[in-house]
Amino acid sequence: MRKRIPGFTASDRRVERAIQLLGLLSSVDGGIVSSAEAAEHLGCTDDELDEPIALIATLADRESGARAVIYRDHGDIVLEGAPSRLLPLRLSTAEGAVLAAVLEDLSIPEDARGRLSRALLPPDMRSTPPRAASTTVFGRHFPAIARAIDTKTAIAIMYRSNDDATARERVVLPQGFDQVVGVAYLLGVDREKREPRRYRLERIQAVRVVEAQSHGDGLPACDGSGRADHTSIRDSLARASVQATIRVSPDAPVPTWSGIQGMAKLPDGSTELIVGVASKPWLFDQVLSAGGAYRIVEPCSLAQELATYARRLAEER
Amino acid sequence: MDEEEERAPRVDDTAQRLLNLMFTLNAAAHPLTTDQIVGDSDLGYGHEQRESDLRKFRRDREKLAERGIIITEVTAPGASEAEQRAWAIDRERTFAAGGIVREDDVRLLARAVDEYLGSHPTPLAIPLKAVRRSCVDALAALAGEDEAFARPAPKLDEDAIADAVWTAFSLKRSLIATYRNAAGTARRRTVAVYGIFTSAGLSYFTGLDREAGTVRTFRTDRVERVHGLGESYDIPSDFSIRDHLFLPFDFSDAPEARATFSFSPGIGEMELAAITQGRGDLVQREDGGWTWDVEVRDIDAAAEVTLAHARFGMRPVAPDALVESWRAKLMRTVGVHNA
Repeated sequence: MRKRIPGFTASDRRVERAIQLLGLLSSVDGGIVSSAEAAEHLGCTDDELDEPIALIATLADRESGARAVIYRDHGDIVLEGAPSRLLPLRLSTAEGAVLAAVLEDLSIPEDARGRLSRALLPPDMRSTPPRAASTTVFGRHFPAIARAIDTKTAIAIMYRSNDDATARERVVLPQGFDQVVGVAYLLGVDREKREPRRYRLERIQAVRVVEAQSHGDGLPACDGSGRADHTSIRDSLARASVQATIRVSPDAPVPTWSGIQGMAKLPDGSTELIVGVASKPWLFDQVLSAGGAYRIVEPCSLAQELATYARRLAEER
Repeated sequence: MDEEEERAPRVDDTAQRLLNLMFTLNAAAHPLTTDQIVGDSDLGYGHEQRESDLRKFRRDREKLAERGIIITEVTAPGASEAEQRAWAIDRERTFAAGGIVREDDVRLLARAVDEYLGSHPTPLAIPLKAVRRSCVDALAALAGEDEAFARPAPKLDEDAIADAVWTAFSLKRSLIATYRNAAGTARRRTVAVYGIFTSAGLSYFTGLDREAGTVRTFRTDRVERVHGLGESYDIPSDFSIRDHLFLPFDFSDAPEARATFSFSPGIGEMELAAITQGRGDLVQREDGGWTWDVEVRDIDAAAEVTLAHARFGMRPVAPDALVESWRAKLMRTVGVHNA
């Protein structure tokens, strides 16, 4: 239930809910929705639906004789009569700002973006600078990947991982998307390795359709949703081949990396972390950026590799 | 008293009048004149002096406009100057246009909205849910689809503070709230919210801080309490939220300095977009690498960002202070690991 906001009057809330309910009932066949669906749509309880229902029931135009007929029928709410129906409302200016951000940030193709904008956005906001945004980068290929997921089509992606200097091609059976702490991923099965993988969308430089997915070819079994079992980033890092012990200086903030498997405060005020690492260069860069506040304690070989990496960088300048 | 009587709530005159106005104009075959509206007691006017009713009618148009119901003045063809003003719902600006979207558009939009939502409470969840539920299903109908798209919308936890921030932004009414800053100090602030963004799983709003007199950015989860909504405001026409997508080297009182970074060939444009957030100037060199010029305030933080992306070939180029800070951090790390 949405809490009341002072300054946003009770009348405001009633009008908003009544318009939302009219819009919902207008958009469904027969003008019938369940009370549960209406309550969820309006963000209110079933009892609170009585107010917008009562408001709508009073609507009448004396001159034309049009009336709004609305009533509860067991667990449903029913709207009768064409005059009561609202055509789908355009988004408000604020809602339009958010939709505009979605269309831009997910690289929706120009033609589809134009059609959706003309259908939904207020006409006077199309030239407005962006008012909503996300720093998550979804890359340029979201629409093509989404289509491949829907059509169960294998794709070849040019992808650069943390350990690659340049992108290389991988054939992937795409299965879905995920977002973790502001990073967007493609979840799929690497056809060559025959294992679930996650790929950062901003590192996919090109996408090419390969073929329709085939079934029963020895690939990882899927769950009921048709997806292979993609473990969380944390769990997959726990199984990573490199496990490191990092000591954080007392005066330095403790990192919040996904790969942290354990943490202990030491008597001198420093913090010791056990970290699963999928990419050594990634770990080295995080330690370097701490400027001496992080130290790789174990394994010694990893600490030596870091020192070599750092010296090589310093020699460039 | 039977169950129906027990259920019937008290009806609110203002809300009833607003909805009657919308309903009547929606059902009307022709525009209605001012007299027909403000003289009609059934509509909710006509009880007071005409001037009072005219003001009420103007406020009601503004209230409905906040919800996307645009009532506009129309001039009937052949009408003389002496004719009364007439009013109708502006159907082009109020109702979504049918017949131009395709099934693929709607399918793509539904998936795009779901992925944009992510999984964290954010003020953007409310409008995105509105788009997902109303527009996707409505558009599907417009596109001739018999069924709403089967994929259920993601379930998100409701967050009252995020709700309040969205409401303030949506209605363009100042947000009055107690905010605790990074230093831990809590203070009451009045903010005209100009824009909202999400970053690394957190949500932020940017707007004019009335007390400070400057545009600032606030973290939604640091709002401790919302006291209410204040005055209306307009968002400056040239305000872009993208100018306020902060980077780690923005947080300092030091003056801005122009910094230059280089990236090696092989890194893609979208990877660079994730690092640069569209700030500054990014130019591809002849060797395929990139040069990025951007204003920074905190030189040490800029050096840290550079080191955090060293595997991408990110290196400091200028100014000297940036290169020196970068080198000092490198050598301190070497020293700590040689000890």
